[in-house]
Amino acid sequence: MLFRDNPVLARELLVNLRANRSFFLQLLYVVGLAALVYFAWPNSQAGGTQVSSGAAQSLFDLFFLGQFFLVALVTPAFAAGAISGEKERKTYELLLASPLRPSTILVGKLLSSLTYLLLLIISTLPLMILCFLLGGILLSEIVRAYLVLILAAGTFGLISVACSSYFRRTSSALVVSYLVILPIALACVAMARSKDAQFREFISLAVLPPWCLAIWALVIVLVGHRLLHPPDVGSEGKEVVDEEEEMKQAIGVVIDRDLFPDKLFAPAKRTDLMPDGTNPVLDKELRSEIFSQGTLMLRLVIQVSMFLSIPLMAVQLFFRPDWAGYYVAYVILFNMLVGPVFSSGSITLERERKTISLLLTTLLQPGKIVLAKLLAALRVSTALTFLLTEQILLAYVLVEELRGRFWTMLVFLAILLVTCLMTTSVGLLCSALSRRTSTAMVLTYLVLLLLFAAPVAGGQFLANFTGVGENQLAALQITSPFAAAFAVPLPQYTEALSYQTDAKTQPIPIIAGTGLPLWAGYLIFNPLLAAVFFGLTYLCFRWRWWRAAEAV
Amino acid sequence: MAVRRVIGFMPDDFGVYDGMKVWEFLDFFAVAYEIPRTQRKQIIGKVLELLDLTRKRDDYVNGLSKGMKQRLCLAKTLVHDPPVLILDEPASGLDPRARLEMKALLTTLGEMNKTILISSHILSELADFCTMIGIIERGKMLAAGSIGEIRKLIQSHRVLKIEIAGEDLEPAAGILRGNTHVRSVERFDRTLTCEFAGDDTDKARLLGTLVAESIPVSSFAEQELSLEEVFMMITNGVVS
Repeated sequence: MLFRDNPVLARELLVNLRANRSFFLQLLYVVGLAALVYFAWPNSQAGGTQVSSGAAQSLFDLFFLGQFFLVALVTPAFAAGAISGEKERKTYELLLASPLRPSTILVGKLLSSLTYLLLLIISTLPLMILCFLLGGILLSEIVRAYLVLILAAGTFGLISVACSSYFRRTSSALVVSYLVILPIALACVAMARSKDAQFREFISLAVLPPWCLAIWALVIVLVGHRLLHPPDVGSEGKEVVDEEEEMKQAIGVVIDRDLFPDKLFAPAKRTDLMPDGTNPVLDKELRSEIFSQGTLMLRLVIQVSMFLSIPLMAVQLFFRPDWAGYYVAYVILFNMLVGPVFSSGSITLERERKTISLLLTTLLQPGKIVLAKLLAALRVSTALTFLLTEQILLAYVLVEELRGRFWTMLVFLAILLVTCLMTTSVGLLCSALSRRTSTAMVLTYLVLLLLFAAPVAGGQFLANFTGVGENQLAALQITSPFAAAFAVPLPQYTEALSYQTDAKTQPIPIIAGTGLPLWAGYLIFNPLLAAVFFGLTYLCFRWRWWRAAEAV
Repeated sequence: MAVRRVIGFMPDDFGVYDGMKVWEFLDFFAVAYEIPRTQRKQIIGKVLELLDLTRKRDDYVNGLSKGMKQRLCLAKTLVHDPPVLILDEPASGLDPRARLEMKALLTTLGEMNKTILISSHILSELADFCTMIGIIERGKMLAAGSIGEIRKLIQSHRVLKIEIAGEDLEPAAGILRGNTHVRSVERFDRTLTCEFAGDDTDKARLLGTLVAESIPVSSFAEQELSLEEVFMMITNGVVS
């Protein structure tokens, strides 16, 4: 029953594999990795027919690293909707009322989201074998790499399914699973980069499997218990969340709408009518909708991000001030993760909750509605992101080397602000284009990865394996806030543990043809891009509107 | 945009916002319809009273029952006091009491000189308070007019029920079959049902003939067609 004839598994597999996008995604995945291997293939002229084992090893590392990141990024996208999707489709009750055991449901959900992932991983095996043919890699190493990948997929998948069972919306489940998974993934990568082969072997064979199995067991027990005694059943997931009641049971951070800085992202509830001239949509979004599904997701996000920021701050701002760009990159990553939660649902939710027809028959202009959505999402995501910038302010006050270049702080803050604008406008555009919030969310992450992270990874790759000039690279990286943050000139760290604040700085990438430094290019180009995205969103919204009017 | 001020629309399948209270919900739509603040308080109070929601003023909208939500949606439709209301199946999914209340409410609104366009599949309920009906099938208006007119339209398809006191129904059936206006005759127990295509004079003549032939007619009545039956006949293409 658990594996054979599992109806949940059968249904999910049928639906997943029936969709064309499954095959399209697989093609994309394999082609992407094949391109990676093709371009990174060691030059045979250098060492005759025999290439050095180091080249094969680095290719293998790159290949494995790429796969690992893809697994970390793709698993939540597949698994985070497993149970919350049932809640959103209102089939959760039907499922729980059936005589299926919780373990059957859990295994079905997990396997169905992992099967496809395994399919992706296994379909790259021929490419891996190509690397093996180069020589210099042990077969046992390949087996171990695949073992780690499969363990990672299982662990990440289970964590996502657990999040999915605790949250009512896929978007919340998705962001919390990323928030849990990404630090784990980064820690794993850091360990895998270690030069000590024995240490790596020890980690991947002796430490990882028992830990993973322990996590699996824990999550299975927790989720099984929750499925057997569901506290959130019977109201189709629409029950009222009483904020005050919830606050009494909250652990850790408590959100108080009346206090700074919480009121920046969550203004107090109204006690009286809105004043004239208020944009009602904006007011509604900020005061009523943010916490309508409970504050759990937001509190988790704030606490985890704060917790992670402490060691990062110590290392990247105080110990090595020249690494301040990396701390900013962490804040950007946080915004990339959290920003879409608030924007990518803003239009799809109106459709999913069937409130769009109520909204569209009022006197509100479409422009006003879309603008209100943008402002509300921008405000929440910016306020949350800037909670993490107090560490930057602190560092610029306390660390002497940074104080000498005070203007760079303003640049960092401007980069963060523009990033908030970008994540929000991309999320809103995806929301206008998609039918479901979960789709919009995944689409937003994809677009953001393409805009923000891909130029940096691609740039590294091109710089290592081809002869593209630095200034041409800078032009390619103009959409990436990461590249912009790394390009801000900071005092250089020298061997003698002293800083040279005056003359010598690292060379700043200049964008080819303009003479602008990369960070300035980012600050100028991306607000324009955000405006284009907003215009597109508006047009999409209008277009849907007309179509809806014709259909009625 | 101007036409939106005149129309209040209540969709068939709608949702409500999460985390909003009833008064906030109504305030939201009042602001969306650009009603000044000074009037809003009064209007919201009035609308809540009209729909008997005053007790629920401070409840969360997503915690309301289906019938309450339906009433709330009607309340939001009324905040800008539109002269024309378009209601899509306002009574669907309501329990019998709520349905009666909805009917009374619509009658009240009608008395307030509002034009109400209402779509419904529960035809018997419409018959009581509608002035005009139209029947649409596959996007085509098959019939439109007052209920009386619609009935007249299908007058050529009236159904007569004739009860005979005696045991032998054959002579009566024979006379009916011989009449030029009778299309078909069916026999059930001691009742003859026939489809009749004539007008009232023809009907009187038929009764006259039956009595003249000394058939013991105990009852001679035209079957009153309900709106449902009219609907069935029209959508089946009986009347074209």
